[in-house]
Amino acid sequence: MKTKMHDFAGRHPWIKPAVVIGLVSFCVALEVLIHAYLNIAVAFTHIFYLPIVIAGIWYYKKAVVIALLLGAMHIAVEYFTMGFVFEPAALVRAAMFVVVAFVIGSLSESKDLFAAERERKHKALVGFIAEVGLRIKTPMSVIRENLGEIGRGIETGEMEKEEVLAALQVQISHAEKILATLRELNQGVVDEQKDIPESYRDLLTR
Amino acid sequence: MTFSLHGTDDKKLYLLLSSAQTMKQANLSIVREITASGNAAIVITTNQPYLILRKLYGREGIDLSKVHFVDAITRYAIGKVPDDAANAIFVNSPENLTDMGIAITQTLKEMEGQNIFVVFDSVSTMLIYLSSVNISKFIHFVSSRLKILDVSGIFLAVEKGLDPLLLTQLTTFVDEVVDLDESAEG
Repeated sequence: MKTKMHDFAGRHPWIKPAVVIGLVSFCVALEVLIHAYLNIAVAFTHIFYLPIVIAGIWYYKKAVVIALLLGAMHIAVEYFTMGFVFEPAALVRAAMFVVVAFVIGSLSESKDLFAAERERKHKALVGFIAEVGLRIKTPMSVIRENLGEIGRGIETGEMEKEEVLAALQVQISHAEKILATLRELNQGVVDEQKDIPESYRDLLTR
Repeated sequence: MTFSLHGTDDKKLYLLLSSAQTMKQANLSIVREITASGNAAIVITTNQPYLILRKLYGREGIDLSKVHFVDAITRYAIGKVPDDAANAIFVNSPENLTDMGIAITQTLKEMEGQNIFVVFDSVSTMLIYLSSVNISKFIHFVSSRLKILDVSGIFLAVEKGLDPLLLTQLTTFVDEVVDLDESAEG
């Protein structure tokens, strides 16, 4: 669901600002209609949290600007409707808008940063595994073919003892290097996955 | 094996793709063709040691005086180099690309004036010792060097054994890509 929404917003970059602007405009209309016109100062301000929270999720701490704007508007309307008196309740409401915007913005920012970092590490690990896989698969087929050649050389008597020994030593070196690459892969996995139990960690890196 | 260097007067760089089974045969027939037409070959090897290649070429009737070797595997895998080694430079390890680059440059300098073909055997074996990124950088270095010096080059690689990204990069470094198995079928 989240991915679908994310994809949709990605395809239509105008959608997020449009939603925030729409909700802020709705809040301004409520302020004018309910607060200024009907002289009701309570309950409707809960709607203000909607654009503040949404902006906090999407635009992080920039949501504080919207909170300040809505808060200032609310205090101003209260000031004029109450006969040029600063009502403490309106001040508290406006302060809460700013606090909520800051908290939601901060939490959302750190959550997304953490997710981005995890994604980056995951991509790096997948790339590393693909590279190591390649560096095992192809060399193994090279070794298999070389060993086949050595076998054929012995069978037909084409290869002398000295050549067979040299060829086998090369295959041992190739195999040792592949093993080292495999160990490197395991180490990479172990370093990445901190929650692997100690016994398995030891087995993987042995 | 239908790849032939005949009629290619231009100094070109080729990437020859073959199956693991036909790789050795590809190496043999290319070096045979190069030397038979009076040209010189520099064989850069990371798989078959000098000792084996020399005997193999000898058995196939290849003129060894026309073949120079840059051997990156003998010292690393066997430890000592043959006492009677001729026309060969031994690099400590296939991982030591700096020394390999120096050895190639030195051999090319020694053979200046001759019509040279550099045979690189093989990109796939290098994957044992190096990452795709480093292989790509090294092949780029070698191919640029060959282009500057106007020398032909043949890079052998196991077909389907390369990372698609690496293969794409290698394709941009060479003039022609030849799939030996495909051309043999065709």
